[in-house]
Amino acid sequence: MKYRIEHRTDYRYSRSVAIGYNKACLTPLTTPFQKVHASLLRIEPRPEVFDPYVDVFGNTVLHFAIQRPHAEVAATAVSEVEVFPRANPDPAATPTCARTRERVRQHADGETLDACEFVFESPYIQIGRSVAEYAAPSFADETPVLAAALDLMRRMREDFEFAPKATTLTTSLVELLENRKGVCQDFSHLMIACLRSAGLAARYVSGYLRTLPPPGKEKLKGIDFSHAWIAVFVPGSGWIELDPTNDLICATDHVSVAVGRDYDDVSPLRGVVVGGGRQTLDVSVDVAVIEPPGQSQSQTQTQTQRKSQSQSQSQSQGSGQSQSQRQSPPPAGK
Amino acid sequence: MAVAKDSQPPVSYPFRGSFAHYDEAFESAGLAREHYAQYFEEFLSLGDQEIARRWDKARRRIQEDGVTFCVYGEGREEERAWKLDPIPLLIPPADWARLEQGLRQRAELLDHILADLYGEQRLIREGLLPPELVFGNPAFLRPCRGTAPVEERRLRNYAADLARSPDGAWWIIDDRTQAPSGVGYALENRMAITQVFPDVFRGSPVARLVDFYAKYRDGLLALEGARQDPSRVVVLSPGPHNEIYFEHSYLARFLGFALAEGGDLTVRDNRVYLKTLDGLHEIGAILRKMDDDFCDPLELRADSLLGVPGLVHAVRRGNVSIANMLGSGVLESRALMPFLPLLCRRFFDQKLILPSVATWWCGQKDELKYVLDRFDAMTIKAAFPSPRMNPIAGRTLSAKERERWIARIRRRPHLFVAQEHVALSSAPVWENGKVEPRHLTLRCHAISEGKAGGWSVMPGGLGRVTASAESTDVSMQMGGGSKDVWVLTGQQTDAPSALMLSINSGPVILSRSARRLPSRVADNLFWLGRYVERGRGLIALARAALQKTEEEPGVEELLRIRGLECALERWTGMAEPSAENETPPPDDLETKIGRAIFDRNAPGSLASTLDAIRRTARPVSDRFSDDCWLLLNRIENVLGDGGETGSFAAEDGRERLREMTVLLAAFGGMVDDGMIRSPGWRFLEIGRCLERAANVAQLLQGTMAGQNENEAGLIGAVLEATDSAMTYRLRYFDQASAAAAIDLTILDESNPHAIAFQLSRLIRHIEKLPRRGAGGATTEMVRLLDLHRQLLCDDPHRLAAPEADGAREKLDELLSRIREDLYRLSEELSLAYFSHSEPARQLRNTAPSRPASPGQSAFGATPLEDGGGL
Repeated sequence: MKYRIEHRTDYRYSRSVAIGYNKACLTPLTTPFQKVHASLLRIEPRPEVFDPYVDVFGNTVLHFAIQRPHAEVAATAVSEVEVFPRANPDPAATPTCARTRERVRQHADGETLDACEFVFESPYIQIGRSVAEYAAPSFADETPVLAAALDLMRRMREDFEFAPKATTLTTSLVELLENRKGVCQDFSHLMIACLRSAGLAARYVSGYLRTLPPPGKEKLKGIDFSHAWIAVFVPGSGWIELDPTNDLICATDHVSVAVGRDYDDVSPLRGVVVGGGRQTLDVSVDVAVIEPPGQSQSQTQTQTQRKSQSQSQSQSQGSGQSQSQRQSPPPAGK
Repeated sequence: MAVAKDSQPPVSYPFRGSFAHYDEAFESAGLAREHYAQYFEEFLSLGDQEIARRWDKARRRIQEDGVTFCVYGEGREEERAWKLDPIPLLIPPADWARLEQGLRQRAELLDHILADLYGEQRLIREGLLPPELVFGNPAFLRPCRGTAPVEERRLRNYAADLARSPDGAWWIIDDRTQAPSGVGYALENRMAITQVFPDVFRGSPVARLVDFYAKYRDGLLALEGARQDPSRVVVLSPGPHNEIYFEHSYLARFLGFALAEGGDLTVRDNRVYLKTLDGLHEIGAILRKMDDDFCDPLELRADSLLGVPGLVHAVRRGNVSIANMLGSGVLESRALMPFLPLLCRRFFDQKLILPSVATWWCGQKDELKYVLDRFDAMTIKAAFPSPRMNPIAGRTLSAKERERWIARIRRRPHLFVAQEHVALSSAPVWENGKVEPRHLTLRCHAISEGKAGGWSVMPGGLGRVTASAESTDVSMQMGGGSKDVWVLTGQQTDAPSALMLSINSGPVILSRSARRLPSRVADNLFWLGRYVERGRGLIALARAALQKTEEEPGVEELLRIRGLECALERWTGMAEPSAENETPPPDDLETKIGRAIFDRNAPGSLASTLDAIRRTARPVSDRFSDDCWLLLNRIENVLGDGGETGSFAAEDGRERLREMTVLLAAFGGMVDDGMIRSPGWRFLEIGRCLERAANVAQLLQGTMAGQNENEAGLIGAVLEATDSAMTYRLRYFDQASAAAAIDLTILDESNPHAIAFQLSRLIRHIEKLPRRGAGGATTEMVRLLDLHRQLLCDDPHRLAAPEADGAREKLDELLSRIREDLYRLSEELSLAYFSHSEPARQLRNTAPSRPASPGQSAFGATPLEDGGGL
């Protein structure tokens, strides 16, 4: 599946900004199942400092600074990304929770050592008692780790309601557990907290989700959103991406941009300005499919093979609950 | 007087029965340790009275020099005088040699660990450090990974808190690796002690501190970014609200580097600059006195208003050296302590010379069990520097609390350490004329020499003692005090020099400008000038008013000076909207004057103006001498604290106001006298002139411009309030003339209290300021020149002529214009010279993944353009 994604952020200030510093996490990741054909970041007005670097998690971050007076900034990221199907392990065949915990604790190899970075609390992941209690039923020692994570995700889907205005960035996980309403970011944080409370490694993934127009309508431009989901560490299989907002295992509908311990590590655009008065913010995202699966000409043999595997997978998903959810409002990607 | 040999103890020193802890000075009650014997002989031979007399002097000096620290509590911070004990802590040569060696080794070890944690992280991969200590540690700052300098030391200044156990061995109880404090206070302590007890000090062979500070400075100058140029180095402080701001400014002044707050620095093109009146000046090295996570709101703590946005990236790009490196707080984790012996073997194949206090990290299974089995003997502490937590002594807990703590530890064991209870040693202090024991810890400092040379340990340090013999908390916040630390050497040393200049072998580069002037400093000096003048004017006004009430307390006289009273009220912002026609009772004015002087809550009162003077003077205290602080403190003493009630005894009040006039004038004069005629001085002067002109204009407008019944009395009062009465009398004797008064107070360019005089000085100063932007005079300057010309040509009779209703409209018009122009001038100067001091604000994509409201998301088609591809 090949996408063209356009993510535009507009800041407007009531008073002129003398100087503004920013870091942008808007360049999609290159992974074994995701290829970035092109990615451009355009900043207006043109910044004096335009200095990309790779952060500790492997994300490409753009540090930029506009050093002359300005009253608005537009940051536009345009990327062409191809997502290939991936083989996910059979949940029932994954190592048990106890075994996984032990492997990470021993961190004897590179894979588990890397996972150690994602086992602890982080700015948005506070593991209080209520989180641990909510998580506990899914994580019996003998349950296979991926099955446990899927069980947690299913329970969350049943217990929580998608509600765009119910939370803010400062809503704590305790409050979320009380009110049971939120958006993708909240669900991802909660799920990560639950997994970590069980001693497992889990990380935050920011990115985009392919959305389908309501039946019989044309897909409108710019109505999409950036999205967030999680990845859980499964020994032997690596990071398996799960979308708690839609209760599904990520396949070719998700385009990942950055990974981190939580939102704080990967916020798409973060900045500090001198001056500026009041500010307003507009974000618009457009995720367009430019090459549906099967039409790609540049696939290698193995990739084709993997794709056919995942087609069956996405079909099985399509018949399930998630497909209908994605087609009906509210849009899934929040 | 012989000590230690006599059976009769010369010092009564209450020991608690047997020796439950070590005492620094005594082997047993009355038997001084050998290295203290000579000291006590000299010290005690002075006699109680002489000691008390000298110590009184020292304490006054400390207070008047403004050696302070802040105490936080109950919503407000309070500044307290630094607490120092006259009896130093003496350390014999053999003890010291071992301490010095141990501190060097530990500093080196911590520096190696730091390099690894922010670099390759081999210690984790080799299994020598558990990942929890790094990844689970909030003090491990990911943005700083990869920024550890390779060729330079990561640590430039390491400090350790040490305690001595009952067997006499020193143990490290805490490591300080971010921005250790105490280097400045240690020096101040030494200066205070040697000034009051020069004879006692000379009698002991004490190691000098001066070389240490010279090496400290040299080490900072040797940093890559400093390029041996002192003007490329700043001391970064969180500002005057920090508890030990005194030390920051003291240290900056002593080392000869500019003191900067976050707002004084700015990052442009990934480089760090100091904002100065002459423009931006590049900085290559920062001695930061700020905690790690506050240093950059862009990449570290987003809510920090103290830091410098973009600083981390400037470090990442290698454009600035920071001492100590950002992220070094990770080493302050107590959980590291149990691993140090092993790491010391790994790096140097050596045994750790100075042990840490016995510490068990609960993140390990066996250790956790060990701790829980002996819970009552343990003190539970936070494993990491944050979040902060008060230590919990197991034995003090109730059964229920105990259970709760154990459950908490079991749930997140890696967040806790347990430590053996530390029995601190005791040391003698001089308290109420007696020698008494107090518990003691010692803070020692090591600095790295040159670019990557060895470690130099300060031969001394900061002794910290508890408030009482029972307490074990040495923190000043809890009332603890400090001690000078004398490291004894084998031989006699040179007398210390107060200036502590050292002969450097390199060629000297002559300079006429001390350093570039930070804009914030100019801003502060401008307001300092304004406040000093405001205080002076207010006292003069109060004195004039008070004199009238005393001399002629009749109702008629009060009516006459009503105008003056109005001015006073308006000035202090206390005007009440009532009573236009009522005659105020005779004592009412006194009350008002009392409030104008004492009431800290009235903006513009003398008390709040003095507060403002302190507030603006403190951040620029490196610009004037200690004596200036002495004067400020004296004024504060004269003002006293009678302010709460606002009560004011007239006779006494007059005398006190007079004294304050003299002291404030002396303060102004001393600041002025000692200051280099730099742009900074001009801003001080500009503030002063501007304030004086505005005040005179305001006073005249409130009095002379209106309709008046008893003109003669009013003119007299106005002349007194503007300090022009004497001149007037010389010129006109007792003839009361409005025109003459107007001429003298507004138009006469030779009267230093007249408005015209201020304007001509303002013009002179402003013309000499560094130019901003395009050349040519600004609008405000043109108006100022025009106003000045008008004053020189105006006719006092025209201004004094009343209209039909008795009011002087022409005068009123002129005074309005003067006030308006001055206001605009002040605004313009702020904009042109200070406004880039405006604090940075956090900007965040608050809802990146939340839906925008309908209609806001219609920015579809933006063409793919360059802009630098990634």
